[in-house]
Amino acid sequence: MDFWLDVTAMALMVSTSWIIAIRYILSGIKWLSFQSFMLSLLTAVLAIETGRTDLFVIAAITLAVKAIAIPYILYRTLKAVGIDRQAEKSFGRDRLIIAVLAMWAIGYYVTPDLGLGSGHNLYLSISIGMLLSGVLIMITHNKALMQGVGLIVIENSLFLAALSTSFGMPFLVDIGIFLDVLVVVVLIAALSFRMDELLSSMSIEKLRRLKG
Amino acid sequence: MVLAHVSTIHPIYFLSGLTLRNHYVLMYISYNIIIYNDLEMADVQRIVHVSINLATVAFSVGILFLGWSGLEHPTLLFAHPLFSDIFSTSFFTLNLATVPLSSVFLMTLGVLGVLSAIYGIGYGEVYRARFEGAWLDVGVFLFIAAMAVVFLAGNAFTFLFGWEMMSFVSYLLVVYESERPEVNMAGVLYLAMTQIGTVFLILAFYLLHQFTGSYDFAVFVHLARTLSPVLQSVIFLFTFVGFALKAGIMPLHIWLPRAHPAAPSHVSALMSGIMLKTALYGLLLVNLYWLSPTVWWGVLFIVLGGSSAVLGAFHATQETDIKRILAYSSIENMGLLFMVVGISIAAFALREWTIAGVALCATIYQAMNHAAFKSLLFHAAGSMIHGTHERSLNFLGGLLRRMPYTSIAMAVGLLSVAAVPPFNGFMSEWLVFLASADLARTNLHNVVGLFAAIALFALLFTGALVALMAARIFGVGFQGEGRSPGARAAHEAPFAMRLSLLMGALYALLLGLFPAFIVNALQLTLPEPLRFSPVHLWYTGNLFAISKLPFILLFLLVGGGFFVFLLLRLFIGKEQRHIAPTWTCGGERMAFMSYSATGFSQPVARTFRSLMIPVARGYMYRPAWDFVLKTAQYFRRIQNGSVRSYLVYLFVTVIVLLIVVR
Repeated sequence: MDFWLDVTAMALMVSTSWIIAIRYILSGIKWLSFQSFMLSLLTAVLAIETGRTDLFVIAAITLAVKAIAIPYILYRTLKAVGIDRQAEKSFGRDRLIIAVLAMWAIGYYVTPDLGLGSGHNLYLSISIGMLLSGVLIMITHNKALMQGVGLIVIENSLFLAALSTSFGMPFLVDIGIFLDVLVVVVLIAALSFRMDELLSSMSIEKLRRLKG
Repeated sequence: MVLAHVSTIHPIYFLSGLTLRNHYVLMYISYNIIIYNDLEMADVQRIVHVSINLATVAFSVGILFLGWSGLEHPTLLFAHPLFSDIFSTSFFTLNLATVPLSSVFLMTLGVLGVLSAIYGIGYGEVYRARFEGAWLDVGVFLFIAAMAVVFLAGNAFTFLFGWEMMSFVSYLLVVYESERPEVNMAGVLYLAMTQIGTVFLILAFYLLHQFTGSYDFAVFVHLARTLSPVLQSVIFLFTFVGFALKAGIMPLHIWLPRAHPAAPSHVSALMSGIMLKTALYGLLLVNLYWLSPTVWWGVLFIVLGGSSAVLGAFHATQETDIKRILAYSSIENMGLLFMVVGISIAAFALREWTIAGVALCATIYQAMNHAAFKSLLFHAAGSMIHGTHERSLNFLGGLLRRMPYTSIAMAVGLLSVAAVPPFNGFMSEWLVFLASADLARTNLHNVVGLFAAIALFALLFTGALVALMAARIFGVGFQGEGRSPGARAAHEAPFAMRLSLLMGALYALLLGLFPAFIVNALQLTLPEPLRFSPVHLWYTGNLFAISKLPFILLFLLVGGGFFVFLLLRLFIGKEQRHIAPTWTCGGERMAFMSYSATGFSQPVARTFRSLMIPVARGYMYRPAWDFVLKTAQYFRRIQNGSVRSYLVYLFVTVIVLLIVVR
């Protein structure tokens, strides 16, 4: 079972690193869907290992909401504004990859050794690295939809952090968070569509024009 | 009906219980009157108003006697640590004590408090239409109490507490007529400036505490002289800036000509008469009684004081708003006081004890005199505004016939401010003159002598300008014809105001008539080495000869004038008078065709055009404001409204914190 945990964790790292450097928004959404799918897989593996039923439910909801519903909503919005939109990044691809590597390094560096003899909690390191990379996505990407993608990455990282330290948050809290994330994504989708209509661009820098 | 009355007077009833006990009793009586006699609302307000003012009068008389007894017997009135169970520090100790120096100021405060409270009974009638009229009376009471705390303070906490309370209450009183737009601006400016000043005072007290280990003034008296000279100079600079802001010395004066005219007149009288003196009191206490002064402190005092005296007097001749004129005159007088303090400090540093003593004596005497005549002038100006509803000299005129009492009071005040012999301004300025001349004479070979000579000329020049200002106010405002309907329909002030005006005039006259008595009393307030015996005054072997001096000089003035008149009569003959109607280009003769206040001051304005440099505005406040705006631009670059830059700040902060905390 540890093998599958490691595989899914690796997949999370790869997908996160790749989302920051994509060229088309569409591939960003696809990789996000892949990442969420891997996360639900990880949850399921953990559920089998620990035998907790609530984790199975969480895994199923993750699959349904994060891997299917949210990417679908984003995809619909992208289709409405034009499927071939490119992501607009503030820095070049090479620098962003280096930055992400630095985020993983920082994530590893800051994770405390709990002194249990088991060394680092590698999953916590990965989750912190993902968190920072998610913020990095929001900072470097200009398009409103990619901001949404970055937000989901941050959310995924927090989910992973909760899983790795205490096998998930209380059930109700998780459900609440799923609902919140769904609402936020719907809002982002709707606002991105309106922005594109009004400003003929999804670039959030254009929002400055609205200032009085 | 009855219930309505009780509920509407409730706030004042509540407040009175908070502030003063005897007033509580009065309120209780009036409360009963309402219930049993069912008085009208206006009567209740009147009773509240008069009773608060009478309580203020009683309180002021108490302060007067406190000062009287404190002059010879320094007493500790009250010393008790506050919240001793919460803070272990000794800072929060309320300590009230009298020292001879503060006693003089306390007595002045007491007299002014009595005058202003009596004046307020009449003057507050205008404000009684608004029910907040009673708040004005409460404010005046609190203002006097706060100033009493400043003068009675025996440690740093009490002093700063009183100082802040005084500043805040006076701010509230300045913005009392807040429906006038300029008043709010003046109030904000005043509050900002006075807070900046307080920062410097706190720094100075902090330094004193840091190196003496105590907050008590009694300890400072003994230990402050042992500090290193550099530290003493730093403390001096902090107190100088802090107190000069309050005193309205020239580069730091901008709040004064706005705030003083904005306040109700008896508040202006208190502010100008005694609040500015709190700054002088603080300066004297710190720099002459605690620290051991250096010559350059005195030079700084002389230069800034002299320039503010001359420029203040100059601006006083230029303004037309009667209260603004008086405000500039206050700047001029504070400048004069700073100049004499400078003489005293320089003489102290040069070990010229007698000159320092005479100068210090002159300072305190002049401060008392200024308090007397400036409060009288502000009261008279308030009476003019009350009677005519006009503030500008250009719209006044002919008040001598319509407002005789106000005219007499104004005349006495103006003669005093112009230092005409039997009135009170003269004796103190004579002592100032004496001290500066002495210092200049004994330091002929020294650069300090030069500054003393500059002080001497500044004094003379100021005197000339002030005489012009006085002549202008009286000549334009009280003689001739009324230049506006308000001035033509002027009515004399109500009885309480007239009473206060006459009492003020009498007080100003008494201070001038018994200089020997006052100089003797002031001897008690001087520090030990500075006390001088009358023989040291080189023009007389006997202190009581001073008392004759005003009369001799008055006689010389009048007699000299008469002599000149006789000579003219003898050599030129009787003047020829042709009475003919004024030629007005064929039109009707109108009052505003007569010589106006602006016209009156034109010769001075033309002659001293070069003095009208906006130094404070152009070289201090404008650059400071520009600097603030430029800094704000930099901050704007950080605070740019882009979500992503905020995320960057968050991101960097989180990473740094994560790495640091690890």
